[in-house]
Amino acid sequence: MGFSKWMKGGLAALMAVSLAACESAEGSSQAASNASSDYEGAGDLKSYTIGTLGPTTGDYAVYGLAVTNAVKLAVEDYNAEHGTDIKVDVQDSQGDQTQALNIYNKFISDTKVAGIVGGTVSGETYAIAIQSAETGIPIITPSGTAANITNEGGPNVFRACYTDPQQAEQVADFTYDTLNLRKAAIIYNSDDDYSTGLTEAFTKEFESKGGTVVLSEAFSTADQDFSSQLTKISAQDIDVLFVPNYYEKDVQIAKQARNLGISAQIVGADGWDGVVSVAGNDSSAVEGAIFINQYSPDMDSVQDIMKEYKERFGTDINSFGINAYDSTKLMLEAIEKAGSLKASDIVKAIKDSNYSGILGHLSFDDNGDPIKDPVFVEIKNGNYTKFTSGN
Amino acid sequence: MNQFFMQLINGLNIGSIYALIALGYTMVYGIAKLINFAHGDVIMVGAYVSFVCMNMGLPWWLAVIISIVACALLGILMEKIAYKPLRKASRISLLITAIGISYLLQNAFQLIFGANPQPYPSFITLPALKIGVITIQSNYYVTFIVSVVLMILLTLFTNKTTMGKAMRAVSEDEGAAKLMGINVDTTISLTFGIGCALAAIAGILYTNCYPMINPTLGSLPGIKAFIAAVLGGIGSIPGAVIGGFILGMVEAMTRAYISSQLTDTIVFTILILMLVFKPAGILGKNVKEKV
Repeated sequence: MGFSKWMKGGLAALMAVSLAACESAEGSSQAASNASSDYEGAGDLKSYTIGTLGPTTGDYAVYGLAVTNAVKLAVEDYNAEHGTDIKVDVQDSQGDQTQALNIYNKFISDTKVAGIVGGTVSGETYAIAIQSAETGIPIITPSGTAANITNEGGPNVFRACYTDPQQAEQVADFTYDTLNLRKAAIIYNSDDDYSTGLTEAFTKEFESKGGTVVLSEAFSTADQDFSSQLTKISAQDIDVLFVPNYYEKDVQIAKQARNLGISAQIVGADGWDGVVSVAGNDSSAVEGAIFINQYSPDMDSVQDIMKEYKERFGTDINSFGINAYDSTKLMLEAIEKAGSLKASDIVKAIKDSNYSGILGHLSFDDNGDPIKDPVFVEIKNGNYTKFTSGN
Repeated sequence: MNQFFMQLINGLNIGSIYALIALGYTMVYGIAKLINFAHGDVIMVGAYVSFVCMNMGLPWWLAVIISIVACALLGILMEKIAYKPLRKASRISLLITAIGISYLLQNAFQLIFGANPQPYPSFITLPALKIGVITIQSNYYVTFIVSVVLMILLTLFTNKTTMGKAMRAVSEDEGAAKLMGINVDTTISLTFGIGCALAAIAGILYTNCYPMINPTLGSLPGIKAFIAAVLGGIGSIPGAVIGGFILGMVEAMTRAYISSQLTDTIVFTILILMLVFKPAGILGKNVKEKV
């Protein structure tokens, strides 16, 4: 995961960019009305280029590689199916905003790509989303979760993943409606935007539905001991414990909670992905926990892509990669439907698209945010299992 | 009331880990007058060595012994390579070197084992202790007992044995100790060896309580234990243990009755107040600097 890390890391740079964006906003919207309809990718419908970017080196390389590799794979598959000769221009952004802007300029002036699938992390995606107002080039980010990407980006900017508040709301609805639980406690990391953001959104949604958040306890990033907070929670009458953190904390919290006799249902967000790998030979503490994610590895629809990706790149695909694969296929289909490489035509086709991919139905709302079904994953016998009600 | 006792036990548990780590800090400071900031990372090394040994299929007790020996050797090596050449240099150079070693260890282990956390196979699986409605997990009381026993043994060692006397002599006046025929180099090496062996034990107990290891696991307990050592009076063995327990208690009680967000603020405020009003710590002696 590490969404919040990107958000944090990118925050300073984001501010700088948004300042710049303020200055140029008026200028660029004018430019947009003049120029946006003019931009057109090079090549023809049988052979054009798609751009993708992400940090393929450095600390976040695991995310950047997942996205760019999956884009390559999607294009290769598409070429094989359609007999086309579409190319991918992969660029390493190093997660850096300035670098991302340079890449964007390269994309529109040198390679003349028809569309961009990226960026991978929030900061870089925001930077190119703002800059792209001048060309109106279609952009789908498979993994940029920051709300301002689509809020401040033009109508040409789309997002295939949930934002953090969106997923917290989904979890709250699920807890209230499907699990029928009413009294919640939360244990969250007060240093972390990801965790605090989820906590706020969950609390708001859960209470607006009629549930109660009995207790919200905080800890800080370096903490390993949560027994004091959990002891307090154990004294309350609750039926659900919301744990919106990354997996290495989640597993410790779950273990300590169970040791202190807390038997409430545990729910979480996508930071839980990976929790089984750190639970060791005894995963009983996380057994039965349910979290929201992009996919569940036991879903039939993802088996082929998991196998194909592993054979091609030697590593396991993750939710970034799967989202990127779907985003790319959606973009390619939209171009085919548009029947043109003109930016404005493709954007319109993406808006109207009714794509059905490995993760199921995907379309976009007016803001460019995804409309899709949430996947809830339950840990059963130490395996990630897609949650289905009635079992 | 139950809540209160449970929080008390939480405080004692985390406190005994701090105490155990603080013992190592205080040993090294007492004799070498060096705040060994790499101490927290020796904890991490101890945890990893035992982890690797158990993964190779060795029984846990052998893994513990190997880990203790490895850390003691690491301590001696550290002193010989990094600190001994600087013994005549200013304090600040030593401090910076210690920070350097800390980064070296963290990054070396990150290179070998990767940055991702790995699950640690806890081996303290004694039955939990039940007193009325309160349940005390085995690693809680084991940690507590180990840290108190080690404190007593260390106090006896420094007060009763020849080697311990030599240590105290070096601590009081290195030059005079040398003139009295004490081998200063060996004494300091031994101190580092013992300090780091303690760190290994602390590391193993820590990862048994929180069964996950990564290359930076030692930093936070290292810093907290440093505060504990200062609080109790750095250089004093019982002081380190008392400081550790006080710190653990303060943390648990703040989380329980004030606010879980204010814990660190309160801990550091106590440290500042201590440094302002009684800089030598609870059990520390006010030694006048010789001019």
